[in-house]
Amino acid sequence: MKINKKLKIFIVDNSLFYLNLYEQNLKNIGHTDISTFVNGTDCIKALSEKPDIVFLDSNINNSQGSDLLKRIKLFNPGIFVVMVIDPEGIRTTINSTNVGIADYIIKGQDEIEKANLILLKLEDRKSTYKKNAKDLCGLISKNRKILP
Amino acid sequence: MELHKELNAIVVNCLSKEQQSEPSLHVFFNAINNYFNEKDLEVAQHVEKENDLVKTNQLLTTLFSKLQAGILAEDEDRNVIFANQMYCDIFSTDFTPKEMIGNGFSNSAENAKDLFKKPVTYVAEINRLHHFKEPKLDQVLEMKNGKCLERNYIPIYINDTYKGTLWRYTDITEKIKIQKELKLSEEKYRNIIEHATDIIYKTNNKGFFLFVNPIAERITGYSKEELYKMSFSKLIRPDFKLKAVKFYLNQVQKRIASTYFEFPIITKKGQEIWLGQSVQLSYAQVNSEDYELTSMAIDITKQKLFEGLLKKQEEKYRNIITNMNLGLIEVSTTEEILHVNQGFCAMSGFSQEELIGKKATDIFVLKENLDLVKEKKKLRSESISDMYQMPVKNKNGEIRWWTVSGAPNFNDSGEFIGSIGIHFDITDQKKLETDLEAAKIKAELASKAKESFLANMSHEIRTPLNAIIGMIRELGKEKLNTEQKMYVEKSSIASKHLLSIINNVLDISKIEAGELTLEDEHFELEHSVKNILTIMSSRAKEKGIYLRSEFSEDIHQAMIGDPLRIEQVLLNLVGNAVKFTAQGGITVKCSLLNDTVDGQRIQIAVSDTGVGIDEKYLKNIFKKFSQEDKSVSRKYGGTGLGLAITYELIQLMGGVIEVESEKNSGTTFKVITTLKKSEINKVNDKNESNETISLNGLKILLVEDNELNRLVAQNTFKYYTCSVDEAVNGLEAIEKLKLNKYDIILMDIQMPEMDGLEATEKIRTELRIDTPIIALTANAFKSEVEKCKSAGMNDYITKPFEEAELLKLISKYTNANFVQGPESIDSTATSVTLKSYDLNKLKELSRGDKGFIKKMISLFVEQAKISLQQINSAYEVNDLDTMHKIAHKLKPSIDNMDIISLKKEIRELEGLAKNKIPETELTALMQHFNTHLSKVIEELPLELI
Repeated sequence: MKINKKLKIFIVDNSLFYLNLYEQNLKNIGHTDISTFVNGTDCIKALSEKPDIVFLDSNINNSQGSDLLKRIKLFNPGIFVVMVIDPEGIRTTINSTNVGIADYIIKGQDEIEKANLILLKLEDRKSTYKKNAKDLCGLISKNRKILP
Repeated sequence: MELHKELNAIVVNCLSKEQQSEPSLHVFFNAINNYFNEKDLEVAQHVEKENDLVKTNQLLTTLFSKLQAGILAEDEDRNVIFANQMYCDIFSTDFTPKEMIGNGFSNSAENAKDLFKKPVTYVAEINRLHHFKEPKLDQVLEMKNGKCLERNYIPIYINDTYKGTLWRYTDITEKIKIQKELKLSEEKYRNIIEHATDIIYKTNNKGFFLFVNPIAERITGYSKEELYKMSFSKLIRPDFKLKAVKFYLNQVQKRIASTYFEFPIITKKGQEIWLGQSVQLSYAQVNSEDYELTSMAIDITKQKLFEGLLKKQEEKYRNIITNMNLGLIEVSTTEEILHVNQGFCAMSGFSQEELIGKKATDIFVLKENLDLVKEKKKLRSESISDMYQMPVKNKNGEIRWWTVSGAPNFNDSGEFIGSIGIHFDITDQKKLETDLEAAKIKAELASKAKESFLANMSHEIRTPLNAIIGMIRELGKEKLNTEQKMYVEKSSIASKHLLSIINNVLDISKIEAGELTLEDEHFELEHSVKNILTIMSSRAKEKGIYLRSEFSEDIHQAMIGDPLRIEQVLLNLVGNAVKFTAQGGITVKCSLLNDTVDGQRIQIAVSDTGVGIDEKYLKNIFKKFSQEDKSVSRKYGGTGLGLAITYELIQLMGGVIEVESEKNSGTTFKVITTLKKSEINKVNDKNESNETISLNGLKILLVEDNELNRLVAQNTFKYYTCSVDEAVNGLEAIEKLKLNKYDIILMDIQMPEMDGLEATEKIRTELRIDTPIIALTANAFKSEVEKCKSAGMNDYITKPFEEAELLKLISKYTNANFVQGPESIDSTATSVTLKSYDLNKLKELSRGDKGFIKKMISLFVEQAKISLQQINSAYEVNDLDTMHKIAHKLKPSIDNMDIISLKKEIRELEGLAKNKIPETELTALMQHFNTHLSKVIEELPLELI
């Protein structure tokens, strides 16, 4: 892989089969720091590991009253949450949870390509953020020096 | 009486001196001696004056007895004639002074010796004094009791005759002590001065050195002796001398007690050293008008150096701040302006006075930006710096755009005291930006308009053309007489020419839009060249010119590239050559320029013996719509696009094209490009694939509004045993699809009622039919293709299509549904025990990680077992909802394991909750599901071994 992928990724889905599939797919596009969870409680417990992004199965989220999304956002609103949605339930899921999700993926519809795009976007955002912060620090420290 | 008076005067005189200095006693006795010497005769003669003498004697006695010194007077025989109490005290004798008188004193030394620390010396010295009878003053004796005595021995001579001795002993213990202490403290101070790290020196009021300490020698490099000969002003750096001398002259004149001054000196070695010097002014001596200067100086060269640097630095930054084009502003926590620089004043139009003390927000910030500023202020108080752009009002009320880089400001103790902003006027840039944005939008609109115009035009022209070509093709298949055949052929050629012109226009617009991309196909270059020659041969024959090719044997047989485009280039060049050559002929020469492991650099030269091109025109030859002169197009025809397309295509291939020409003798075009090597077995032979296509038993749905086009298509399929259903628009297609199942759908895009895109979307999302759909589009623009694909179409073909191409596409999509994969094609016919799943997807995903596949298989088996159980128990109680849920959960796994036999069924089961199906069908469905899934569950673990 050309780019050194440093994102910490959580995947939450109640199907182990699906989790493994996803994990492998993400590994194939160069991600290594992936944790998978079959239920929301484990995911919440692990939030202190500071994930950059959580792929959250909408079924899991719904079965717990969209509790999980809220709890993740409460823990750190900076975490990207990507809802993984069944094609049947697109509208209802998006409507009920559109607060706070960074993006959504529809199961079975180019999901990996979409996931990759989201991850690239996030990486890009992270690096530009870092760069901006650095530039600004430099500028400010320079300015401070020349103040009367 | 006179004597008495004189003596009195002497005594008084002596006494007054006595208080000041001891040795004056000696003077006193001398005075007495002198007096007696002078007055001796008179005394003898004037007996009556004896009384006076007695009085004098008394006076002296009183005087001596009161002196603060032990006095002993002896006569020439060493008999005591006088002693005072002090004497008795010092020598601790039991006698009173009076009792002492008359005592022989010859042994007194022996008696008293034990009182002294050095008794032997004491006695010897007394004897020595008596022997020499010379005055001996200020001898110091140390006594055993710790006291110190000063002894004066004064022999008394009258008229040169020894008359006796006067001993005077003074207790100088205190004095010695004080002297010692004085010496000690002096030494202490001298030590301090000598070892001080500061220069300490004294000069007289002329500046000449009187004293210097060692450090002064070390720093100046001059020795003490040298320094004592010079004035301190000599050390001062010449240009500074006047200033320093004036300064100290002023101190001396105005009697300023203490001053501090800094000046540079030059050492003996010529080094420059800065001194910081404190000078104390003091009188040289008591009652003297002369001054001395005591100076202490420190080497402050380093400080001076830093000070200088600091000053320079500060000046530099001050200059930067003042003169930079950035506006700097410092505000307090209440937004009150504390400081602005010149740049800010220039930017804002206000003067410093107008700004300082005012509230920055009141002056500059527009109403709509108040919230933004508030937010930024909050950020500052949280120690966050950032940069933003904001429109503000300047003094003239004009709106200016500023980039503001704001940072919190802290005082030395780290308290937040406001913020600092650096401003940059970006109004011009902003204007450019908006202009650019507008221009860009305009350009995009224009480009879109052009693209859509071209797309529409090409559609409008190509649709009827499609029909014409198709009809002519069909007509050609009929039994015709020779004449008719000729007409058909001519029409065919004309229509194809028209098509090629349209295609050229389309190609150019595609190239301009960056839409044209090259394919990477395996092909034979020689084959392509031959192909072109074959195409052009008839025309060459007609004109009676030769057409040859030379092909270097070194050129690799199979290459990777876009043969279609290479052939297009060659066709253009050879076509042109044929067109412009009346005599002689054309040679196409392919030669190898460079050979590497991966690829070859090849030159294809097309030379003709034609009319040639004028030199002036050569540079414009590759420009669009250009021909040498207008008569050319009349004489030879053509659009003037061919070479432009050729040029662009070669550019795309990363090659170059060169042209050499001489009017009336011929032209040579050289195309040089690099092609990758390939293997001959990878080259597809188009002719072969044509033969293998079979559309036996296929059910095709043709959706097309244009009747002619439908006819063309129908005719194409006539020769194959397939059934074709027609629909004239999207709506009709959907109706047909509801009733029948098809193997493939051919869908036109632009149709009335419901167009192809909408219909496809409905078919995919509402009908949930995944039958392959191939778009029939009139234009091959990327945007159009993308629209098709995103609507859910599988592929596309541009009209007018080549029969073979369409058939190939159809077979590609229909065959794919019949067979499992490329490798299993052979086994389909013979084996019945075909695997019911396909792990290829997983294998591809695993990237060689076998553990992953194993894990996935066991996970699937586990899940499938549970699901099977659950769905059956739900089926028993007719719980459709649960069945839906289970099916839904299992669906992605089945898709990923590629279990073809269950893909449809799982979807039907999933849809149960919504679309109820008859009992019998459900039973059959469950049976199918049970048997197939169980089979998979049995088979899959074998993969694990």
